[in-house]
Amino acid sequence: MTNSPLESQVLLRLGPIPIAAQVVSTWAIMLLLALACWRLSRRLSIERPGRLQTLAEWFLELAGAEIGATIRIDPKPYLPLLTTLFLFILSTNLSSLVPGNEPPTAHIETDAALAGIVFAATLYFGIRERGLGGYLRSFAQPTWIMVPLNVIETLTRTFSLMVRLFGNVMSGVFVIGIVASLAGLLVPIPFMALEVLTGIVQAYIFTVLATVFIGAAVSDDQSEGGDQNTSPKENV
Amino acid sequence: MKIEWWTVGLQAVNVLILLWLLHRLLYRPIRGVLDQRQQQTTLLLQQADEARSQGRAERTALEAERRELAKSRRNLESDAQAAIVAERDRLLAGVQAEAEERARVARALLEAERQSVEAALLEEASHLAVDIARRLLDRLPKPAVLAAFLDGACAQVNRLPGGSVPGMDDEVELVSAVELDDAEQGLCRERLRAVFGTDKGLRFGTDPTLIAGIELRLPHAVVRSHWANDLSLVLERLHADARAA
Repeated sequence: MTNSPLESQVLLRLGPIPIAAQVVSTWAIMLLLALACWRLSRRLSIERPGRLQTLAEWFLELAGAEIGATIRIDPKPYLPLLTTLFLFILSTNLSSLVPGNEPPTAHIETDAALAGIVFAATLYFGIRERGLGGYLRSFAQPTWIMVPLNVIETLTRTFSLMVRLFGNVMSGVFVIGIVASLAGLLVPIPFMALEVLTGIVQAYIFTVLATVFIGAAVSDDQSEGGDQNTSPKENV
Repeated sequence: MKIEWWTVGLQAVNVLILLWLLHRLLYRPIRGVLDQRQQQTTLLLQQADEARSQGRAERTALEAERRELAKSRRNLESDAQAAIVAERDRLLAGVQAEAEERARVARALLEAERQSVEAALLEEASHLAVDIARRLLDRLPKPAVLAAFLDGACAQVNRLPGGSVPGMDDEVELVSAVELDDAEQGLCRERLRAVFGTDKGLRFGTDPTLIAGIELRLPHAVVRSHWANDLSLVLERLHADARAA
């Protein structure tokens, strides 16, 4: 790979809409995930679950337990969004293993879309759980002087969420591209393995941070949410 | 670096579509399976709890029934014991009454037998005494024997109080074991005349039960001078001695 990862490669245009390569990759990933889930859903059994079903059940149970432990309330309303984010980011990050494919998360547009969805989900769940007034009053905690800072924090943490994922994934792709252009075919393999680990970790971190943001929005305990927002996880 | 906002929007829409797809194809089916399994588990647990509760209830009922049976058994045992005791007492009373009745009957029989034997012995002794007396009398001279009995009778008459001695017109019967001949009657008249002063009202009679001797039947007294009376006195003395022993 010799193109700059900062640039989106437009494959075609549908009128004024450019269809970038990352969008096509995203469609392919969506298709694979949908097909896999469709096949899984056709073979579900209560008495004798298969390996894939067992893995899916274990994953959802584990995700529900992690989300519940983080936000301290019933995780069911938030489970689809957060696990979708994790699966999507994990799949897109691991798609870098496909030769000639750039992971969509290595482009700022995809990460911006994901961060925007998290921001919108935070607003939606916060207002749904606490009401518009209650959610807006949460910005005046512990005192009204903190309103500007809390607003800025809400925006900047979304921005940091986007930049963190973009920086980590893009840097990995960038390093692999540089090494591949300098040292041939086999040398980038260790870097690719490291990129796999980085992709898994970044998917986990993005999901955990999204969980923390949503939990802070729906929680009545502002101080607890504040502590979570400044937890070590966010500083990774 | 340039951000393509169309791409941002497309990717956001893609993620939302993927969210919808996964929600329909993954979360909802898996959640349904987990919920059904949880329901089955809950149902099994409820059934197990119900079975456990039913078992406990049955065990409690069985224990209550066992206690009731034990209580009934104790009651039956006590009732049976009381009935046995009452039946035993009744039987004992009956046996005792029967034994007493039998003893009484036996005593009565013994008494009757004793009296019968005693009477038989007395009869036999009487016959033996009569036989002995007759044998003795046969060896003695009759006039002497009659005189001896007369002497005894006269002596008793002399010991009578004055009011009991008959007067001149009173009848006196002289009863002997055997009929007296004329000589013996003459002897008797002579001796009694000496005692009463007259023999005008004297009559003679016989009574074999006297064995030997005579009996004077006065208007107000009876003078016995015969062996039957003596033997009777002897028997009374013997009975008195036996009772004293």
